[in-house]
Amino acid sequence: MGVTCVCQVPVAEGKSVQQTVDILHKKLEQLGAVKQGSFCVDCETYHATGNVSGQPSKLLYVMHNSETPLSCLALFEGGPCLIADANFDVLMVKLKSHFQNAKGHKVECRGSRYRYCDFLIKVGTVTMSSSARGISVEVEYCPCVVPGDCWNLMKEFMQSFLGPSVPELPSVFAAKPEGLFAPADSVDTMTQYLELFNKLPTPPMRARLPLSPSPMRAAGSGLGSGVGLFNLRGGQQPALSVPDGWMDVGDVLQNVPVGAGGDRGHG
Amino acid sequence: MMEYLLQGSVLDQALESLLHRLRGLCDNMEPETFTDHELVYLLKGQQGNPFILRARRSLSHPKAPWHLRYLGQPEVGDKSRHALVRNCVDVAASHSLPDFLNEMGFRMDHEFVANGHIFRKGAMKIVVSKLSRILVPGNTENTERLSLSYLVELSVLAPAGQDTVSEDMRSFAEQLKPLVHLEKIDPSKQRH
Repeated sequence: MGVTCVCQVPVAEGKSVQQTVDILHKKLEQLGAVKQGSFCVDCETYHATGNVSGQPSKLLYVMHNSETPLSCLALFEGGPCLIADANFDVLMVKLKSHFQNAKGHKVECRGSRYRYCDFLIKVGTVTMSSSARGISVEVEYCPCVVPGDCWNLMKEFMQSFLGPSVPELPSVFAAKPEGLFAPADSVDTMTQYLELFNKLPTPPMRARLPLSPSPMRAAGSGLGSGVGLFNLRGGQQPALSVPDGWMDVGDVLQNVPVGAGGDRGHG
Repeated sequence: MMEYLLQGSVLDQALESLLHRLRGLCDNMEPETFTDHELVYLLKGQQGNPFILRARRSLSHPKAPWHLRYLGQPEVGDKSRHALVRNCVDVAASHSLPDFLNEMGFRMDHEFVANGHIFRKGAMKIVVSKLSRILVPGNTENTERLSLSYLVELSVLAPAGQDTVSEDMRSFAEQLKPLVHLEKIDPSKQRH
């Protein structure tokens, strides 16, 4: 696995999620990239039960990546992470009385894989509860594992098909003790996916009653952070947190549109 | 997956004869010794018994992944079944396992070092191990033997419902008599 950058791409103005993904695919094919199958990255959220009241429940994320099908990654946000084999999911089922699976919060990112010379590009649609929440692009430069040595090249390559949506250097690389010259690994990739999933807006059906009016997102403004809109427990919280005593109003809010394109995620 | 288990022990003096017989009965392979460090973690819930997980690493192969094991309660059922049967989940994990378990809320209850020999016969695994107590937490160099004997375990990992497994185990155990008597020992009856 080489240095990988995962970024969010805003939905194009006046287009749906699927149309924007198709535009990206066309640009990659024009560059000369070859489609090589599909990929899937998913993330399940568990929250610890039985915590001392007053303390926020710890969230445990268990992620899978089709690039490493026999492994899974379990992590606490900002805390230690564990790479384990696929049986870890079976173990989490055994632990269900201690760690509850927030089933409605399973996030999946699925899409096509493209290969262009030494680059691997994955364009995915991020979905939660079967509705599209955004678009992710993962670019991996396979020959190099040191971000400091290839970031400029990756940025230049991304500009050729992402245009102005090119991201900055991912914070996971800068945050390491050795900085940009520490080798990158699969944990860095999955951490970037988790940050992306957490940045996506909380779906309206998870809002606490009484509801504040759900604002329509301006076309082309990208899918900004939902955290400030639905104040979950005061203060910053990842969009995937599940406070106690929430009522799921999904049954009531069936038809709230996701974004300007009103795309319900099935392309 | 279910673990089928029979256990027994031999005094130190009888070890060589047992190893000799096992070398004869088991699959032909290079004799394999091991030195493992096992930590037992507990997660105390709001109700019921604490959840137990066993984390094991090899001291002779320090780069190998950690092995995390969950063992369920022994299946109560057919008393005539020859082996102890319990649910078993095995997970290979990276070296951040102890920190991760602590973050999950698990606390280490006790740890020990096990070293000995391992043999295989088909799907059966025979482990002859000496258990040692760790005197200073985390220091695996400084250990003290727990007893003057070796623990002998015969186990098979198989899907549920395969009762022929315990038959095969019983007939193998017969061949080890009278050097060692392997029997079904219910761990819950050993509770302090």
